[in-house]
This record gives sequence, C-alpha cells and structure tokens, in this order.
Amino acid sequence: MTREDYIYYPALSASRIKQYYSGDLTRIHGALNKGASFHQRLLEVSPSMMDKEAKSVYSSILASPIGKAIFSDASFEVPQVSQLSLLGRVIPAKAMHDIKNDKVGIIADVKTTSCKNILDFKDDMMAHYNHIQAVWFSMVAGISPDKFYYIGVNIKARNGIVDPNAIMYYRHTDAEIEIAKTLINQYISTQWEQVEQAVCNRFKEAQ
Amino acid sequence: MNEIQILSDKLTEIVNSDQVLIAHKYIASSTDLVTSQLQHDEVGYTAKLANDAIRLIENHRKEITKPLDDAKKHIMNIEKDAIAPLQEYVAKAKAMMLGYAKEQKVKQDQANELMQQNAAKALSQETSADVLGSLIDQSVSIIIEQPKNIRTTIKAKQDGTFVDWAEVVEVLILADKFDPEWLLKGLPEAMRKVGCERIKGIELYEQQTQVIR
Repeated sequence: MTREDYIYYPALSASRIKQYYSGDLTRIHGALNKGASFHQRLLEVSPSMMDKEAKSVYSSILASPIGKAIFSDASFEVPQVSQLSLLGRVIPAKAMHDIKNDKVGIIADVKTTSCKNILDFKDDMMAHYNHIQAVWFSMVAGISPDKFYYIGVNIKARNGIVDPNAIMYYRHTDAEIEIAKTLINQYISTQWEQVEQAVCNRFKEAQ
Repeated sequence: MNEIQILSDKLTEIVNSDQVLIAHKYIASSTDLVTSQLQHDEVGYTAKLANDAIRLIENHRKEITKPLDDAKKHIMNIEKDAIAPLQEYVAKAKAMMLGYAKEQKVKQDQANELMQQNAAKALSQETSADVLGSLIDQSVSIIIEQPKNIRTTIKAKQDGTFVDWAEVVEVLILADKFDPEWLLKGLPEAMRKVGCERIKGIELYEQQTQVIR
C-alpha cells in the first residue's frame, strides 16, 4: 500500500479521533508540517543519504541500547488496516506505523517536541491526545498498547551532536491507556454513526 | 537636605549678558564664505567669541545646577546603601541556585549513564518487548527534577591557543554582524607603529579639524 493509497483508504484513523478531542489544529499547522518533514528525512531516507539533522538523531537513537533495539530489523512507515470490533460495531481502521518491529513485537512513533525531559514529554503527549493514537495503533496492529513506544526528539537531539541521552523513550501507563480507551469508546458511541456512512461508503467503493 | 534652590533666573541673565549678546551680534554680521585672509581672521575671532560665550553659559549652568547635582548624588548614595545588601543577596542566591542546578544535572547525567549501561546489559541477554518496556519505564523513573528558569547564553572567549582572527572576521562578515569601525579606529596608529604602509582595501586619509584659539 502506497502512502497515497493509505491516505485515501476508507477507514477510521487515530488522527480523526484525536482531532475530535483536540479541535482545530490550524494553530499548530507549522509544527505539524515540520514534524512530517522530519519523519520523512529520518524514516524514509537511507542513513548515508540523511541530512545532518536527521543523521544526528539517527546516530543518537542507535547510540542508545533501547533505540538500537527498537530500530534493529524494524520496518519504517508501515501502513496497516484492520477491522476492529468495538461496542458491537465493526470499524474499518487504519494506522501508519513509523516503526514496526515484528521481531520484538512492538511499534514506535517518532515525535518531534520542544520538551526537554520525559516528564514534560509525557504531559505533552497526553495534552495532544497522543495516547489515543497509541491505543488505536496498537489495536490496529493487534498488540497490547503497552508495546507502543514513543521516541521523543527535541531540539537538543537535532543540533548535530550525537547524544543517546538526548532521545526520550516513553510508553503509556495502564491508567493513561484506560483513559485513551474510554475516549475512543466515547468517540465510537457518539460520533461513529455520523462518520460511518462517509467512511463505509468509501470502503464499499474501494472494495 | 530636604529643599534645594535652583537659581535659574541667573542663567537667563547670563544668556542675555553683554558677552553673549556681542557674540551673537558678531555672528549675525559674519560672512558665509571665507575668501581672504582678513575674512579668515574675522571668522576665527567670531568663532572664538562664540566659544567663549558657550563656556560662560556652560560654567554658569554648572554652578546653578550644582545643588541639584549634589542632592542627586546624596540621594543616590542613600539608594546605593539600601540596595547594596539586597543586590549582594540576589547575586548570592543566584549562585546558590545555579550550583544546585549543576549538581542536579550531574546526578541526572550519572543516572542516565548507569541507565544506558543497564539497558545494554539487559538487552544483550534478552531483546523482548517486556525487557524494552521495563527499561523505558526505568528511564522515566530515573528522571531527577531539574530547576527551571535557567537562561543559557552562548558566549565566546579566547582559550589561550592561537586564534585565527581572519576566520573570526570572516564568520562575522558572513553573518552580517561585522562592524568595520571596530578595526578601523586604531588602525592608522597601529600601522605607523609597526611600519606598515599599506593594507589592501584600506585608504589612509587626512581629516582636518579647525582649532579655535
């Protein structure tokens, strides 16, 4: 499945659910575009062809045993679709995993951030409803949400100096996962009727 | 000292004194162009009268405002005495807070280093989601709260080795942060001292200033 196929694939994505809770994202459009560009430069370019910023982050990730274990033998930018059974409904769902490591059985998502430590990063992930993404992606991948990891990349990690401690790793706690599940269920029970027709019509057309 | 008396009328008297008025009278009838030695001498004399008048007004202004200056000095001394211990404490507090922040940073760096070692050891034995997840949780648990509100600015200083000043200047020029006046100000004197007659792109020129005596 190409990126374009994925974008137009008629299924419910985490970003649609997140947007319902976070509202208009126009104010952070610039940051989102920069983040998307960085993802492309880090995950879709071979290390020898990476620019200085991406290479610095890539090297810092590999310099950390945790980062190395996540990246080794992993696939990058992996689109995945699935049929989820939620609240008695069958929901066509999709997710684009930044990193999928089937050997270890985890998925990971790279987040560019202005946070300087993991505690702030964790709060930031919750504030932007990324715990919804963590749970949704896990459901689509058929793994437990505690096997969804964030790789937090802040400015320090992108300044050209290789430093394994400049990369932050985080996974949600059970309590945070429960909150995300509640939000997803709430979305499905209140919003799915409205979005189902649009999504399913496209799904039927696609089939 | 609660009240001060400023005799501003006295300055008005000086401004309208014979000496100042005569200077104005000479200026009013002075030529706009010097084409002869006589005109040169006349203009020089008028400029001297103007200079003397300026000095007269300035001296009286200083004399009149002296009580004001003395009062300001006295008030500033009171202010200085009051502020000094407070400033001293603020400086000491900042130093103590920065010292604590540095200690916390060292502790965090040590914890991070230990974490990296533990992670390497654990993952060399088993690379599984459970081990990875546990290590990620540990990396959160070792976070030591770091003091906030520390402003970090990058400054440059000489490190005692040879400085490539040409590169320094080149970098400043490229960043459009180079002011040539920094280097040109003392250059003629420096060139004379070292016996350097010419530098490419630099022109030594004479700038003349008329002295009024």
